[in-house]
Amino acid sequence: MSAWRRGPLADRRSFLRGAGALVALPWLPSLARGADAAAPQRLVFVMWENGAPMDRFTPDAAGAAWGATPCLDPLVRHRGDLAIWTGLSNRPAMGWQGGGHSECFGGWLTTRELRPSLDIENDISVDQAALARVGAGRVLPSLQVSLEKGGTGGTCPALFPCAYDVAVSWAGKGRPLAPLDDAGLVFDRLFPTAPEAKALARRRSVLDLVREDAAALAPQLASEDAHRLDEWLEGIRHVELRLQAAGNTCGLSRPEELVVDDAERADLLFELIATGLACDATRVVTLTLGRAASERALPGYGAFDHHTASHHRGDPNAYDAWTGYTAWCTERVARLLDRMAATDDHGARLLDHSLVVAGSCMGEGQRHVPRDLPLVTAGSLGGLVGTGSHHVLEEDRPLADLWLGLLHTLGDDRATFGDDGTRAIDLG
Amino acid sequence: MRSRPSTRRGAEPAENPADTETNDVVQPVATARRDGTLDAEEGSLGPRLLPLVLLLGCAPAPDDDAVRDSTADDSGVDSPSDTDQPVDTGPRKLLHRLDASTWRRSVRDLLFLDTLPQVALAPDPTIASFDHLLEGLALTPLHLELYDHAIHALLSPLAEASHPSWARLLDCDPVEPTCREAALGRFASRAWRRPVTAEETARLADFATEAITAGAAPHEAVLDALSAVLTSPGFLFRIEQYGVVDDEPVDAWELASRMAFFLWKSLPDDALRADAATGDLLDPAVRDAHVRRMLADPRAQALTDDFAGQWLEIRALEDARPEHSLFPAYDLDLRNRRKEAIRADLAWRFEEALGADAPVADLFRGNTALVDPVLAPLYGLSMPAGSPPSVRALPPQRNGGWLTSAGWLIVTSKVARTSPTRRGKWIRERLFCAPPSAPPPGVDSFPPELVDLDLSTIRAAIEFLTKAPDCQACHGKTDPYGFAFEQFSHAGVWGLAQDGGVVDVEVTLPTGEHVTGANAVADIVADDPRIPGCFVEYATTYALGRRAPQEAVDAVLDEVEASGAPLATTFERIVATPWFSTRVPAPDEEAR
Repeated sequence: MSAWRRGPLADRRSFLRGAGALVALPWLPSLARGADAAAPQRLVFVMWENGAPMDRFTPDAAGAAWGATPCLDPLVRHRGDLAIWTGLSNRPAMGWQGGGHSECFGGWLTTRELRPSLDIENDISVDQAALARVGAGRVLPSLQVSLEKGGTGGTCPALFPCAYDVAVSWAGKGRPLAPLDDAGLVFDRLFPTAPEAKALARRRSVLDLVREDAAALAPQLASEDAHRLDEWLEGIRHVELRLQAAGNTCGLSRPEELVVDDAERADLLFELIATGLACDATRVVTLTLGRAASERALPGYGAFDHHTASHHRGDPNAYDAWTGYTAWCTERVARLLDRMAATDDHGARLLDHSLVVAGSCMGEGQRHVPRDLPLVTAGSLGGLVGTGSHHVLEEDRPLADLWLGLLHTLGDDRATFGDDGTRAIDLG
Repeated sequence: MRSRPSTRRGAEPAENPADTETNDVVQPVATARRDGTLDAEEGSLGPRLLPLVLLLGCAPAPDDDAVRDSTADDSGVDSPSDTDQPVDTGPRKLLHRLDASTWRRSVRDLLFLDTLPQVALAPDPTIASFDHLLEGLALTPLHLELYDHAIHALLSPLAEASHPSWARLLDCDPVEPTCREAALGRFASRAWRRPVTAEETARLADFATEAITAGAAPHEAVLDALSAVLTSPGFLFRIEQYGVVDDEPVDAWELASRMAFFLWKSLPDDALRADAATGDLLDPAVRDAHVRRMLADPRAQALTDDFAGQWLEIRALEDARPEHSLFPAYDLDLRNRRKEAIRADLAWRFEEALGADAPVADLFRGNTALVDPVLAPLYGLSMPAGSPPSVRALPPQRNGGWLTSAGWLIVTSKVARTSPTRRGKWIRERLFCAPPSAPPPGVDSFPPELVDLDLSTIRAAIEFLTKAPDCQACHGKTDPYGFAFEQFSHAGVWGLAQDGGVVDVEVTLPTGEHVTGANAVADIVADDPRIPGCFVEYATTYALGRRAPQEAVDAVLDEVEASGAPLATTFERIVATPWFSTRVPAPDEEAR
């Protein structure tokens, strides 16, 4: 679990990548900054809702010479660490009714078709699939966070399980990993308090006792219910592992959940996330900036909340507002990158050992269709992922191909991912 | 897992590669799953390894001592012979996890706390509008982590021996082993909603005694055992037997639990337990008397918080953030007090109707509200600061009951504007059980040629945007309800200013009536014959904790429709319906 496996292939690829980057990119060859082979790999997925005005997102030029656009402007300060991926579509999310918030939100990282149902379906998401390669951190295998307050329990279209509107991370079919939206709780998850030695022994003995209860119960269960008990046992083991790992707050103290706006809350969460990654409390984080069909309202846009603005109907005021909301989201991404670039990790920048994937599950918001998706990556994952370029892919290249490519980069050479991931995109 | 033919846990190793990667934390377990060598060591496994073994699909033989000693996990009422048989031939059991609300309420009652504990628990996204249905309750490591956190947060104040709860948990000196044993047996029986066996009690008592031997104070040792009772699957899961034959009735203990979870979202109290123990609860007269008693008990507030909270979406107020001067962003205290006053008004309306056993449609009639000085300005009333909340008649334009309450008008709006479509959809979905379908595939509902959309006249904009026949198929049956409420703003205030113009609230409803304004539409809605059946559908699903079969809904409706589905009577008849008191049929694969 502990060691980041780095085979000969990875070493060779990262060398080549580094060499290529040196030639092509004068700004920032990540390897030149000294990514350390002992450093774990970290993955961060950031999603915003309601798409993006793509003509104000996508740069004109492909390759290294891409120029800023209104939506990418906040990210330009990280251009040396950035790669832009244009042309991706999540076709499975269009399957049922041509695209909607539930399918696109719940299907972003799973690339599975989600249909109206009264049972929770879906499948494992790429961040969870990657866990087996990246490994668990000391405290928490992965962390899910929602920036926008409320709605994590969710009310949503009656036709769909609300889980699709809440969770982008899925441990498997029917297993949504719902995010927390409270900074104090996020702190508790990453930096649990250590019980005194005596109390620790007593709590362990409690866990042993209740396991016996489960053992007695198990033979009496039907298979589906036995599966529920398996999940319970998995959770109890998780609690036990946390007890062992507790006690390292990595220099932070528990934040009081003050009443602050989302921009301030974001900075607070970014500090927790970056510190948690750097001190290996966890290695995989998913962060949703807004809940499904987010109606976040920022000052200055009048009656145009984020969702209303995205259905712009060609109205230039709505379009400008939507551009503003999108830039607000990319500014949040940029500030997370600021934090990760400023955080030391094994003698290099945390960002050098990480891959941050940021985008929306929708493209053009007017029709809410998950085609031509806005997506950028940042960081080189220790030299495995190329940086600096704007990659223009063929039209409607499956998003699942990118997730498959990421898994291949991590050394997981499965043949397919999601519903339509069969041709892995080379992240180099 | 579903497709496994064996009734024993997995006779073969996991064959689906997803099994190993879906687990958030169990890498060591996943690795071990492939490790067949554990089979050979079966006989030497200690209790700590047992669960691992069960996960691996190589459960010890049923005569294993460690298993047999703790298998008396039954009600003890109707199957005393279980211990004489191999454990895997008894009736199969169903696990239904407690949702967050039920968990909090149950712990409150178990520990004799005065208020609902405000501990963080993992969110449970809703399915079919409710967050406690069997079909929707996933269990992730986060859940266990927060349950564990909450148990310790709630029990740690009891480390003080002077904590008031101890007087209720112990009636003797915990230095005495017999005292500890009696108290733990009582607590476990309450927490697990069934009689506990002497072996189970002795096990908990031994656990406490060991803790004392290891240096814990007597009440701390009891506390550790309480923690184990609350962490045990016996507390976290509602454990019921599947039915082996058709229409198999539940036993009295299972019935007591179902009633308490439905009406209180908590555990059976002493009175229910007493009649469960004697079996008297199975007598319909005794059962109905309990229902009436329980509906009058303060714990029935769960019906307001969780049933009405989700059916009528009172809970959505928590997330509401109207952009309006009455809800200033700079004064969050005022904003929150105002939201709480709005919630209290809605809660009062539901509880009044429940207490009066009023027909459900009465919720959507009249102009009385519970008003306090913080809420008064929204209703155009003035109240001196500091006056207590009181029942007031609202101005005459608010004669549509729930549909002219500030709360409903807010939760059916967007942040910064009204949404007539959302209001109409709410009425169709929540009151008629006839939700609009999603837009047909490929519909571009927003003609791109429109560039000068004036959002201050929302009705005109929506009518323009949805004029295509494809759109009108649904919007035409939905939006008119909402248009009639356009004089109420997104903040629930009367007199929506729309550039000084007259707001057009004249509508033709899909049921044919041509009327003007909110009161007139609310009257028609309240008289709609679909309301009782729709309410019964929501209530029966809520009561059963899983999707209600249509037959169950019909059975209840047959009894209450003529009287307009009065709230309390409907709840009582739901408990009386055979669907409420028969066991869930065993899954096909488990049939024997």
